[in-house]
Order: sequence, then structure tokens, then C-alpha cells
Amino acid sequence: MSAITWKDRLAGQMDPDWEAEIDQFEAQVELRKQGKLEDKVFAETRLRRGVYGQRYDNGERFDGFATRQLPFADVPTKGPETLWDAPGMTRIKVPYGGVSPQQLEVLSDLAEEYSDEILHVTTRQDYQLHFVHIEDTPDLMRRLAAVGITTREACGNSVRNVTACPLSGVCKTESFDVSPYARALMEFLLGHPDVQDFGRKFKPAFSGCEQEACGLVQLHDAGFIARVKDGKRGFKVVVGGGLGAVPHQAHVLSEFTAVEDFLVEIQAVARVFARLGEKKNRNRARIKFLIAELGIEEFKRLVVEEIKTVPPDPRHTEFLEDLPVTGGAAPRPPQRLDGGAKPPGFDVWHETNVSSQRQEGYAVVTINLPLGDLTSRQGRALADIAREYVGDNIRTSVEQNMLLRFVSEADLPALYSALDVVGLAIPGAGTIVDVTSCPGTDTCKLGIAASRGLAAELRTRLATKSASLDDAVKNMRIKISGCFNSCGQHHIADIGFYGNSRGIDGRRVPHFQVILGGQSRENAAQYGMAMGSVPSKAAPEVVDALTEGYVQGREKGETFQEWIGRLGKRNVRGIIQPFMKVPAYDAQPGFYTDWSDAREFTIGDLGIGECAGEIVSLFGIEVMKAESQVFDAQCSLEEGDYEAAEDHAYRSMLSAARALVRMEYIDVTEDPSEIVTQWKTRFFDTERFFDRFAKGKFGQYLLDWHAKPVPSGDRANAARRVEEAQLFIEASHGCEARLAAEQAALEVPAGA
Amino acid sequence: MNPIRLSVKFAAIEAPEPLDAAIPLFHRFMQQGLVEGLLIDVADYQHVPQGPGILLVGHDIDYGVDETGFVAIRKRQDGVSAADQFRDVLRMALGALQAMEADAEFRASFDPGQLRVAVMDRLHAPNTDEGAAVVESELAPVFAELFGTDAKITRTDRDDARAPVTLEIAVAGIDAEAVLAKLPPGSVPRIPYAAPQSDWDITAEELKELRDSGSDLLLIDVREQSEFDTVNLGGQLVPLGTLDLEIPELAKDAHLVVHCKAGGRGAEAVKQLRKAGFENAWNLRGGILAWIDRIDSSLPRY
Ligand code: SF4
Repeated sequence: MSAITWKDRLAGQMDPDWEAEIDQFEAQVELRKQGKLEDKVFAETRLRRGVYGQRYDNGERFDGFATRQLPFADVPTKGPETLWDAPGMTRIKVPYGGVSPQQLEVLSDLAEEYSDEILHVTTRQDYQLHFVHIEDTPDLMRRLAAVGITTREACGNSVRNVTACPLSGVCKTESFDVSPYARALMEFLLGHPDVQDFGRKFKPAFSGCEQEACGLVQLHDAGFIARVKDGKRGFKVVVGGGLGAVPHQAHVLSEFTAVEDFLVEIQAVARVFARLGEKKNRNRARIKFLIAELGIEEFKRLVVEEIKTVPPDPRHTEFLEDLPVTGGAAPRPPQRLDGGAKPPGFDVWHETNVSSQRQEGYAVVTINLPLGDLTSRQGRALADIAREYVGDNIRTSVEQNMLLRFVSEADLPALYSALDVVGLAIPGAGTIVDVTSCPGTDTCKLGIAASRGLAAELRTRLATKSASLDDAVKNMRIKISGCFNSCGQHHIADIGFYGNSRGIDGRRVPHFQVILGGQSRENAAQYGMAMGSVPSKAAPEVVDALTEGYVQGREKGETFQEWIGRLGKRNVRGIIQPFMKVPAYDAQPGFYTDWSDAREFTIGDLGIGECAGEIVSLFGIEVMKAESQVFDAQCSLEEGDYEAAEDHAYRSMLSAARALVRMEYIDVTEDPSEIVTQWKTRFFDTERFFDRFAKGKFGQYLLDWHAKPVPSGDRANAARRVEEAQLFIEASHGCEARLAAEQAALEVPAGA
Repeated sequence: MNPIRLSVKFAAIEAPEPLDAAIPLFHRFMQQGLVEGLLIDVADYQHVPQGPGILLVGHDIDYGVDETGFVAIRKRQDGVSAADQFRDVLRMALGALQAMEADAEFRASFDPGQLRVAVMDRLHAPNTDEGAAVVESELAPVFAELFGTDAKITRTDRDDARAPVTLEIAVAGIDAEAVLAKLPPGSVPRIPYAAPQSDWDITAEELKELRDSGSDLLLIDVREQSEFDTVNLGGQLVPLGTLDLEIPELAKDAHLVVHCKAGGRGAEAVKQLRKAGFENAWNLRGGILAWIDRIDSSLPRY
């Protein structure tokens, strides 16, 4: 009755190139199984196709008492430290987050058959499936390819998903609809020979206007902001932005590039990046480092030169004659919502989840997906709803929500009821309740604290009191990352958090660093600053204290950011301070576990947690000094004294390094050179300072500075250095935690 | 027909309140090896309305609890027929139900006589009359064999052709033990505290036998003083951190059994002892908790 394999069943329904590539991937899976393909080579291949590793895929997991081996088959492996059988994550990139009902149905099927019935929308408008087995991935890709979706180049050192504001085409403030151009860029660059040789990933983004947040172009490797000049369409082009551990604001490459020139220009950028960008050191390989090194003026010059050498290619302008279709017609005529019965709950939902669009009589509906998650059943229901009301006009947003565009206003009550039946009519989209989070410790290998757990907790707490919240508070945004890597975009929230940990009396306690004053408007033009770490379990109280303080203390019309700015870091720190203390284990053991987890907390699943006795931590006392210095650095930064900020930041790194050295060599002096020398020989050269993922990255910050400790007095440099100091201190905490664990294991007389 | 995924869901009689309680329950399942399967992690999906609730994700099976019931999803069974997969997943699910009942803290109940079987494979079992007929013809004999011919079977997927083929079975007065007896034994013995913690484990039962037989063994408790004060088995207190100091005091040929709370520190201690040349040193698998759960429930659990 049915074909035996998806390969046969779908033959001819896929783009022939994609089909051949999937067959090739399947063959590589087979080769790897037979041991005929190297570990590293296979890892690269699979990453290029969006097939990622996931937490515990090295086969080790701390179960709350001891580190257990998960008996996955370990021959062969999928890459260094990634066991073959361990399930992983598949990232499906959808340009500018646009899907059709049919595509949504296929995604739902795949989640049900290969994953855990959950479709996850990421902060980059991608979809992710978790717990997928490597052998299932070729069929998964075929089924996607048959409906025009590729997972190609979703990961690895390639051009990542092209994002765009989810309102493009319907927005009132945009210059023009950027989606066709985003699509053209994606089609042009996908598999292009000039983008295969990058040292690191490259993320492009489009925005229809300068002032709104939706495109977040400032934090991308390349950003395109729509502009019209003398009646001609073009883009302001920015390059070298990025969040990551140390955030960079993008630089302007060109104030106006006409649409017929923009593909040539980006191709030239790609060629310069491929040629000159760092290849060996992953930690310095993003384009932002190249630009920081060359300076934007030199980079611009190189791009202009490069454009002259780019071979002519008709594809640079061909798309303009026939712009790709990116939405499809609205199935229903525009009609105002006049009177008529409204279902219960409609008004509350309407206030936050519906906005009118440029086209008269049509509205945009935001579906508030908690933490970006949606079930297969909901996906199918949504496909039905879309078919009836909006056709192909479904988008995802960087806030991990979905948008239905071109909803005839008269249909809103019926649409609301249809969504409500399947649990998709949650109000509060784009308000403080709509917390965004990266995967964190749930599935990410790098996660330190449970960002999703905290996000879920905050959602629940805020939703129950949502009705009583002040309007200004409702409009705030909370974003959470599981570690400093900022996939949750914590730098651009009013209140941001990133996971870290602290050692207290020989135990680890999950913490979140509080980041305040970031901004997502104006395409994320302002990044927030670290205010101090609080225990995970105290984070909700911190949110309460900050929002209440704001409501009581603000002046008329003052935004949260302005309020934070006016108060100054020291006063803000005063609000957070009471929550920073960790209660003793016996009094409140709950502080020693993370949200949504029953296990005693550990970091990195390295087997720490069951510690041998109490350790009076000399390190703990010493590192306090570093923490207070980095705080002083932030204050100086805020006060505009950039040289002082740089100096404090440098000193704080020295203090943290000294804290480590003192654990072994108590008599180390305060002399910077001695500290650095001692730290370098003991911790850096021995790689004891290195963690499994960042390796020597954070240690290098200290070495670089110490080599040339001359303050630049420049704001951007100072801000970066303060960030680096913060990360160096984090890394020192991490190093101490690993050493404590080793110590516990080493307390055996060797060979006795 | 060999589907890639097949699930069994028992309807809730009394759902856990709050659902949260399933998180520590699932962690205990993993820590103590109480259910079958290579288990990986607990995923909390309570934030998703009508979502999967709390999932215990495994390599070959997922277990889940939501407001409506308890589900077990069998996966990665290449080349195994639907009938055999059903037998297999039913045994695992019933085993998990028993483990839940035996759990001291988890309060919920599910009805093994109200079950829903779904075949999640759109290639081999599409939701068409033809596809459903294949599923029914393969599973009906197994249902009859296990539940008798009175069981009521209904197909419940007809409202949405995109949903997996789903059959609902109602069995009046089901005897779960009797059903279990008819199923093939599992690949993993369903014994609490079965997961090895070191190469030198002994079980609580074995320790009891040794003690009852009056064997000359030295029980060493490697926990901390405060834990010892809470509850102990009369062992000699040597916190793990001070074990190295104690090692020279111990006779190399002594019969040693070390224990901690749950077996982790004990495993560490026995490793150290073996390294130091003690050839008759053992770890109590599951620690004092295993002893309390299986030998002497009058002692306080902490
Ligand atoms: S921020 Fe950290 S924990 Fe979160 S997804 Fe990124 S790397 Fe993982």
C-alpha cells in the first residue's frame, strides 16, 4: 500500500540538488558507521546540515548523587565527545520565519515521529526539534525538502538563517517590504562558493525601518535597513554586530546601497571575511573581530576594492525583475470589526495580541507561544486556522512567537475562539509576561543554569498578577540565557539574566547575573550592563523588587531604562543586594537545586555536587575583591570616566587571577607582573584554566591586556573590557569549581 | 508492519496535583533504576497548554505524565512488528505504574484498563482506512490475547486524517498482574536500585544477609556528621574527605562495606580503597536510601 522508504515515496518531489545532497549525507552516515569517515569530518558535515549535539551526548550525566554513564552505543561517534546513539537537536532554518500551512503540518509530523511532539521556535526565527536520532535525520530532511525547506547551512561556519522583522510587508513604519530581498539574499548565498570558507558563522538580518526592534540588525554580522533615497530602494548596511560573550554594536558599512548593488556588496564582504578573517581561533573568528582589528574605514576600503574584482553575475540583479513571492494573497476580504458578539477573554487578548496593519481592515495576530514551544497537535490546528483566515501568511518572531498576518478584522472573534480551543489564545504577547529564553540546561551542552525553568516560573508568577500590573511594567521585556553566550539575547532586555554559578560552603549554587538597561528598540541600539549575580531561586524576587521600585520611584513618563540610568549603578545595586545572599543549605536546600529540577545542582555535569566535606574557601574571600572592582568599573563606565573603567576592569582581572594563585601559593605579592606570571604558569599554560568549550578564550583577555595595559579612553573599548573582566571572573569561578572537584577525587594516596 | 513509534497511554483516575510532583518522581526513576529503558533526562513542559506535561525522555522509550494520563512511547525499534512493540511498551508502562504506586511521595492513579494506543508512522501506518486496517489487523489478536474478547476497541482518529492512527481500548476489571504475566520478560530486570554505581557494588539485600549471618565486616559510613546524626546504620563514621587519613589505620585484609546516602560517595570511597590495596572493600548500591526503602522502612528517609 505504501512505499517502503521516504526516499522512494518522495522521489521527484524534492529540489534535485537538495535530494542529491541528502542522499550524500545518508551515505556519509553509513560510511561513518562503518568507520570509513573521520570523526571531525563527519561532525562538520552534520553541523552544516543543522544536526547538532545536545546535552549529555558525551554519555555522562549527574543524576543528583553521582555521575552516571549513559550506556549509549559508543562506536562510532558523531564527533569528538559526541556519542553516536545520543539523541541530538535538529535546527530547521526558515528564511525570515515564514512558513505555509502545509509546511507547518510537516513540521508537526516530524516533531511527533522523530522528536518529543514539541516544535520549538528560536530567537532567530528557526525551528528546533530535540532528542532526534542521527539515523532519522536523512528522512526528516527529505520530508522537509519535499515542502521546500532545507536544513542546509543552519549551523557550522556558514551563512545562518536570514532573519527579518515579522511585520515586513504589513508594518506602518517600514520603508518597504524587505522579505523578498531577504529571500533573494538567502537564495543567492545558499551554497555560494564564496561563503564556504568562513572561519565562523555569519548571521544576516533585515529590518524595514531604523527605529523599531523587530529586525535587531545591530546585533547581527550583517544588517540591512530599508531606505528610500530619491525614490529608489536601497539599504543602510551595517556589519560586525553581535551579542556573544562580549557584545559588539555593528558599524555602518554604507549609508545607502541601492537594491541592485546589495548582493554584489555582500558578496564582496563575504570574500574579504573569508580571506582575512581568523580561521584557527574560533573565539576570534566572527567578522566583528576582523572589523575591530582593521577598523571600519579600512574594512570599507577593502570591500570597495573587492567589489571591483567580483566577477559579473546576472544573479546580482535578476531577482529585481521578478521579486520572490513571500506571502501569498489574503484569503479573506478586509472588513472592520464593528460590534458583534465577542467571546469571553477576547478583549484582554485583543489588547496585547492584535495590532492593526498598514493595509486597511487587516490585523496582525500574535500567538503567544510559551518559551517558543508548540505541540504537534497545535501545529496542525494552527495550519487549519491559517488556511481559513490568512493563507500563507504565518511568521515566527525573535520573541519566539508566531504571527498571523492579513487577518480580516471582522474575523478576529472567530479566530480567537478557534485558537482558544487548542490553547493558543494566551494573552500578553510582547508584554513582561512574554519572557524569552534560550534552551539553557534543558538541552544545551553549554548551559549553566536553567534559563527555561526560570522563564517558566516568571511567566506563571507574572501572569497571575498581570491584571494588577502597572502599564509601564507590562511593557517591559525579560530575556534569559542559560550562560554568558547570550542566545537568549539578555543584553537587549529591560531585565536580562544569564546563568552562572557560585561555590558556597563546598556546594554549587545556580545563579543568574542580572543585566539591566538594555534596549531592543532602534534595532537593539543599547546593551545592558551587569549588576551582580543572584541565586536562581531569588531571581523572581529581584524582578518584583525592580518593578516595584520602578513604579514607585519613576518620574512622569520615565521608561525603565531611563529610571535605571537616573538611579545610577550603585543605587540599583542597593535594590539587588538583599537578594544576593545564599541561605545555608540546612535552612533552605531549595537554593541548591535549579528550577524544574530535583537534582542537587552541579555545573557542566562534570560530576561535581557530592563534595568531600566543607572547604573553607580562601578563593571565595579573595574573589570578592575582584567582584567589587568590576562593579566599580561599571560605575566609572556609567559616569563617563572610561580610563578609570578600563583600569578597574584590569585590576579586577588581576584580583581574580590572584585569588586562584593564592590557593596554591599564598605568598604571591600584589605586583601585576608577578600575579600574571604565576597565574600563567600555574593555570593558563597548564590549561587548568580552560573549560571544555571556551578553552583559553577568557584567559587570553588578561594576557592581552597585561601585554599592553594602556587605557584607550574610548567608550566602546571600555565597555568591552568591562565585559571581558566580568567573563574572566566567571571563568575563574568555573576553574575553582573544577579544581575543587578534582581535589575531592584526588584525596587518595597515589599508589599506596 | 514495523512502525517507528508506538505509544500506550493510560487514562488518569487521579492526576498528580500539582503536576510538578512528577519531576522528582522521574528523577528517582533514573537514580534508582526503577523503570526500563535507557533514560536521559526530565523535560518540564508544564508551560505548554495541552502539552505533554512532564516527560522522562529516554533513548528507546519516553514516559510522560500530564493532566489526562500517563503515556509510554516506544521508539527506535528497527524491524520490530507493531504487535511485539505493543507487548513491549505495555510491559514497560505497567512496570512504571507499579513503580509509581510503590513510590512513597507520588500521589496519582491511572487506569490500566483505559488505554489508548497510537502508531506514529505516516509512512507505514498512514491515517487512512487502509492504514488503520493494517494496524487493527496486527494489534487485534494481541489485544484479545491479553485483555480477552470483551475488551471494547474504538478507533478515535477519524476527525483528523493527519493525526496518528489511534485505538482506544476499554477493559472492565483489568488485572494488571495477570496481563504482565502474559508478557515477555523485559530486557532490563525491573529491580529498584539496579543501576551499577561502581565495579564493587553489593545490594541492600546482600548486606542484610551478611549482617544476619554474623559475618565479621566493618561498615564504614562516608557521609557527614549531620547526616549521620539524622539516621545511621551503626557504621563507623569516616566522612569521604577524611578517608585518606583513616586508610593507614585499616587492615588491608578487612572485609569493608562503605555506604553513603545514595551510593555516589560510597562508589568514590570504594574506588579509593581498592586503589589503596583493599581487596575486600564494597559499596552499598543505593546507599542508606536503598537500605531504608528495601530493608528497614522504619528509618527516616532524608
Ligand atoms: S546562551 Fe548558553 S545555554 Fe543558552 S543556548 Fe546559548 S550557549 Fe546554550
